[in-house]
Amino acid sequence: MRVLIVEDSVRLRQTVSTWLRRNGFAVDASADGEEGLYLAETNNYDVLVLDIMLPKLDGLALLQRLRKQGKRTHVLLLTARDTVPDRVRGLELGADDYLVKPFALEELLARVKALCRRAYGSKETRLLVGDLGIDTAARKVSRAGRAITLQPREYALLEYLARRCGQIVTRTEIEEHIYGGEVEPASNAVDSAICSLRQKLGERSSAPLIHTRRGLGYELAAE
Amino acid sequence: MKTIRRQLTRKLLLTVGLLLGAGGFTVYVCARVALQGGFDAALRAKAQALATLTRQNDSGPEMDFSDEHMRGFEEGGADFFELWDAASRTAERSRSLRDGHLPCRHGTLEKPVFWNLTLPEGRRCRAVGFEFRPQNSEDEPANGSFPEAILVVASVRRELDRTLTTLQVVLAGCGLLLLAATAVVVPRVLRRELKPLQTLAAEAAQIDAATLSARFATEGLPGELAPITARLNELLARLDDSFERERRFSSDVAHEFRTPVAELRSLAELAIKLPDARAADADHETLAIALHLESILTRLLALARGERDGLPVQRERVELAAFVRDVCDPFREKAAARELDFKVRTPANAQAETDPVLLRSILRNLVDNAVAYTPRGGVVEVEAAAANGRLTLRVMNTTDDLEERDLPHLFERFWRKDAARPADGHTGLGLSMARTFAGAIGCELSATLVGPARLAVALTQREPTTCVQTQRRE
Repeated sequence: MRVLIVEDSVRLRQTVSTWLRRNGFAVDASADGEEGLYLAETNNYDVLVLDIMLPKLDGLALLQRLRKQGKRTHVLLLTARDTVPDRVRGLELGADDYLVKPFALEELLARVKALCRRAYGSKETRLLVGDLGIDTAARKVSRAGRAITLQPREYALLEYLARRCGQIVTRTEIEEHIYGGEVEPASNAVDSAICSLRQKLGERSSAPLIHTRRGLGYELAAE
Repeated sequence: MKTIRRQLTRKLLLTVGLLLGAGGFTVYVCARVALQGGFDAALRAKAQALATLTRQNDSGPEMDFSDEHMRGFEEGGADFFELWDAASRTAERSRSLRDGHLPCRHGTLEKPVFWNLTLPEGRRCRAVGFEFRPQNSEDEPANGSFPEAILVVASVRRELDRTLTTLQVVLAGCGLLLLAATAVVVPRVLRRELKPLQTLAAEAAQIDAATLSARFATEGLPGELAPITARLNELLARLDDSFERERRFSSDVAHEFRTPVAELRSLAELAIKLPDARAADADHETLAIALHLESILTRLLALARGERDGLPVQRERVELAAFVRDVCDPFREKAAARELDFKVRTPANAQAETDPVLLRSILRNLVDNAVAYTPRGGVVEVEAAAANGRLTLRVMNTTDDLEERDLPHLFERFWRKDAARPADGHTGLGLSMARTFAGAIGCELSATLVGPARLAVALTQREPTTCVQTQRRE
């Protein structure tokens, strides 16, 4: 899942980015509204974590311009303003959620996850693909009752594929949503991650779940 | 409930009732006097006519009277007379009196006596009586040789009384009708005319802390209410302004504290949850946040104390040149790093009687702001003087984003041109604090734009104190 954080406080930007990355999100960060708007316009983020008081372009104006362009990215407003009119204004302008500073990192993570689920049209925290079960709240994966331990990024890749179960997911989409802008265009990071995931899912002994669609991408489906 | 409308209605009805009563009574009295006057004049004319018919014989006065000539005195008639001689013996009387007599009261011919009387058969009459000297039978003019006679003439006053009673009934009826009409019309008129007052009350009832931006309508208001409404609107505007400032201040306080607390919390949480992700400079960051919070708290406390209790001021003689240099020198390095042209101008040997601690805090704030917010390559100028016993201090700097409309906000707590509060160590309280301190040492702190891109913040002493200055400059 790919998240953009637009926050002018260096410390908050760094801690939140680290926290989300460690929890398997691909994170981009920006310190001002103009850059944030540019990034949100040019990339497909699953969730946008947006401070309201920003230099150059404030968060609400950014949100308004994004919505005018038809961008439906889910937005979590992060701000020190906690009055009801402030919240109402933010939500009326198209924000999906509102978190007041100071906040618990766990709560921020839960809200970002909830917005990610909404981004894929699901409210369920348990995804099932054949005998594969994914508990998105506990971030636990099991297959045929056997628990599987995954690295955060592997988990993020599996959850992304599971959320788009039955659809072909292109390599570029995986790069964008799981790796952010971190991988080189010709890199085989996606292939390596898919290979590692297949091994951990025990696809040699069980029925394969991740299918390669040559020239198109990958598909997670129970056949 | 006691309302203006009810009170006005009650008082107006009372007033109208009293006026109608007084008016009706006056009309009745005038009409009665006029009618009775006419009645009396007719009665007197009858009496005088009878007097001219009276002759003095040897046996006494005798009236040459016939019922046929003067109707009314016949038996059963409504007019009566009785004539007495000088010895008060009845000489003549009308047949209408039958067996009765009239009382013998009299005035003179010129000034007769009128009175009301009731005849034995119960008829109410009006009578006139006078004494006169009848002519003798030989038509000789009356002279002092004839004794006087007394004539009393009376007429039934039934018609007069009926007319007066009718008048009373008409006046009372009209009065009551008018009073009833007033009782109906006055409340309606008052309701209509007091409608603007009711509208004003209804509008006022809807105003609370959340709707202070509302204003009373001023269109079509009566002259008495227009100034009240105008004052109320001014009051509302001031209240709205104060509430808005208060709201902004509370919100700003929350914002100023929430952001560093959020930073502190996220740093700590991250260090606990992901010890390996703990940054090497995490402790320095924590300390920086704590110092920033401390700075906000200290300044807020100083402001609150300054505004509530007043600050203790200890005046002493301050050598301005050394003082300004002492404050400005620590900023030279930062100014040089930002390539600022930093100029300090103070007159040598100039002295001011002031509180050096508060003055130092003010000047440090002004210079700190100037050095921090002047665009790279700009100019910062600090000037101090103590002419005519007045201390003046001016800090000017180049500015590229301040506008005239920003100036009133410069001294507001937490106001910053950039709403995003850049992490520059500034709290947005410096100028508010400087202004409070300036007030404590008897000075005013004001800001002006000198030209389009130069901000001048000036400290000016209100009352002169003992200051010494020579004109030589550094």
